[in-house]
Amino acid sequence: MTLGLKWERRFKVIAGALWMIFILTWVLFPTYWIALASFKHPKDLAVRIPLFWTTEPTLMSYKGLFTQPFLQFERLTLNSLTVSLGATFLSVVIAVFAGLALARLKFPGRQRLGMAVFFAYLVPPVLLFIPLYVVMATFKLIDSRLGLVLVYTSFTVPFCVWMLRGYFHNIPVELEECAMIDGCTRVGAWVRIVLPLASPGIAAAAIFAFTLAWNEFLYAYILTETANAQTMPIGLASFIQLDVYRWGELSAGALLMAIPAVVLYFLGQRFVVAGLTGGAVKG
Amino acid sequence: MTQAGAERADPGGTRGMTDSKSRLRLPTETVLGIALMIPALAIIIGLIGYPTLYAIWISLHTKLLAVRDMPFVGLENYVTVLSQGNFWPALGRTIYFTVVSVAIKVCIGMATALVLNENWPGRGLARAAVLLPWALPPLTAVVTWRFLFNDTTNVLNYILIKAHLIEKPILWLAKAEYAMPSAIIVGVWQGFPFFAITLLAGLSPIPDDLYDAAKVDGAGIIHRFLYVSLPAVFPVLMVAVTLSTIWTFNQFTVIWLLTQGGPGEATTTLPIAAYQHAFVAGSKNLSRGAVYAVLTFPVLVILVLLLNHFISSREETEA
Repeated sequence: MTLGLKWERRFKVIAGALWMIFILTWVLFPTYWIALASFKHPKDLAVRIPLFWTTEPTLMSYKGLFTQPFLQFERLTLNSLTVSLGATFLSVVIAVFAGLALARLKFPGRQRLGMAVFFAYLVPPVLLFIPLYVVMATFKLIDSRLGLVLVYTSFTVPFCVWMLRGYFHNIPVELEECAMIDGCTRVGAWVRIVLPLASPGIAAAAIFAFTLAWNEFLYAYILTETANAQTMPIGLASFIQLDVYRWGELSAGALLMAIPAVVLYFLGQRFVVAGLTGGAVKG
Repeated sequence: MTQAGAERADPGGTRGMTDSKSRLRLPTETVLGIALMIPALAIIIGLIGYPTLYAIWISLHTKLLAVRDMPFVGLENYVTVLSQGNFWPALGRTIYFTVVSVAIKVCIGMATALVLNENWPGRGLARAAVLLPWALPPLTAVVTWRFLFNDTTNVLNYILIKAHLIEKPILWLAKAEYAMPSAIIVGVWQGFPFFAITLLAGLSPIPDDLYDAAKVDGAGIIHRFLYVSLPAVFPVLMVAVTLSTIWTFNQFTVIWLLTQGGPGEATTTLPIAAYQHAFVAGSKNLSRGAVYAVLTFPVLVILVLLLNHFISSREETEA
């Protein structure tokens, strides 16, 4: 009826190995291909038989990216950084307040408010982008970095509140009560005990908020018009729509944009794991 | 509530004191709690709640991008969109895109999670590699795949022809019948790691004893999956499916950057149609776009209610 256990084990190992080879190829090859392309000589990019390796790597595409007059890549980078940092800072501060309230205080409607924050995060930009455009236009905030920061808090704030609420919740309330018995006020106990213990969680929330803002496309696409406020994805998207594809520069730009996002994402992941296991005083 | 407070403050003599203290603290807690919530609530109401209602308001008027006034027209926009617009085909494409994408993400994600849940050298690295597409900006993911699909740089076709999987090059993005599958491929590539990781988190706490007991009872590998693994991860799976369905149904960036809804209207889903009516086509009719966006709202409500149900039933089983 069933295969012998030994054969079954062999089947499991072989099937698992084959599947992992397939998955890793499908995940890694595209990434490898774009990284390779950014270092290829332009003449090697559109050829009949694709080159899977390059013997003469060059930084020509990267230089081209920074010297395109219509692209203003430095300016795009600066805009992306400003907007993402602004939204991150604003939302972490707001979320620490709200997270503490939801995790640590008992007031009527707290449970419902917590769920409301979560559902707010799920309202898609597709529903909001048209009204937000009209609102931003009324306040003369089109093509403005400040406007983009404000709009980005619409998803970074719910995200951070939800994440920090959970994080604060996992810090044993006894620690706070001990501090209060020792004469701390409630807010004093938060500042001295809860916030330091939650610092990995706060760092992770900040990191993920930053990557959410850094990667965002739709809002930046409709709310910016010039290099005054355009972010990296918008500048690079305009590159796609040119008549002639400039694959070298495009892949260099897409890769440069991805590096901070990927590095921060994996850093944030470590913080979450380390923080949750490291801070587990409660059995 | 007071009982829970008393239980927490356990050091014998202080029990009565803490109890009365917390009873006195109650109104202060409410005031402080609401005060601390104000900034977050202002953002959520001002930038999510109000715009949602304003979207409905705009859809009941005629608001053109370049015109300041917006006369009230009632349900006229809805009648136009539902009767002669490209709404129904776009809805069909959105459902097709969502159902097929999510189904493939579940299958690939589950298979990957099952393998990553086994003990083998290098699985930590493999786990990180699997997460890579999820961590990439959508723009980078799409540029990468446009590069692979492109017929002048032809690498994907080259590989598939060499592997004898196809005979002649496929025009991935230029042919209507391949554009939707291409969009699904890119969406799945970026989205499946979410399933792999959440399902892995659901699988890893299952104790080995359960599998061993099933083995003793003569359960084969498929039965162990169906009767041990699947029931254990089912709550997590349902939450992940609902979340992914919301995100996939509202996918704009990947489809827009890949095909801009084309060729023709082959990949024009509802989000793409909303954008095109509002900011691209003809008179740039924001109200027409808003109608498409508002009509996706019932789907969101249903999915959120489902999610609420799954989350609360999960909390009940855990409690």
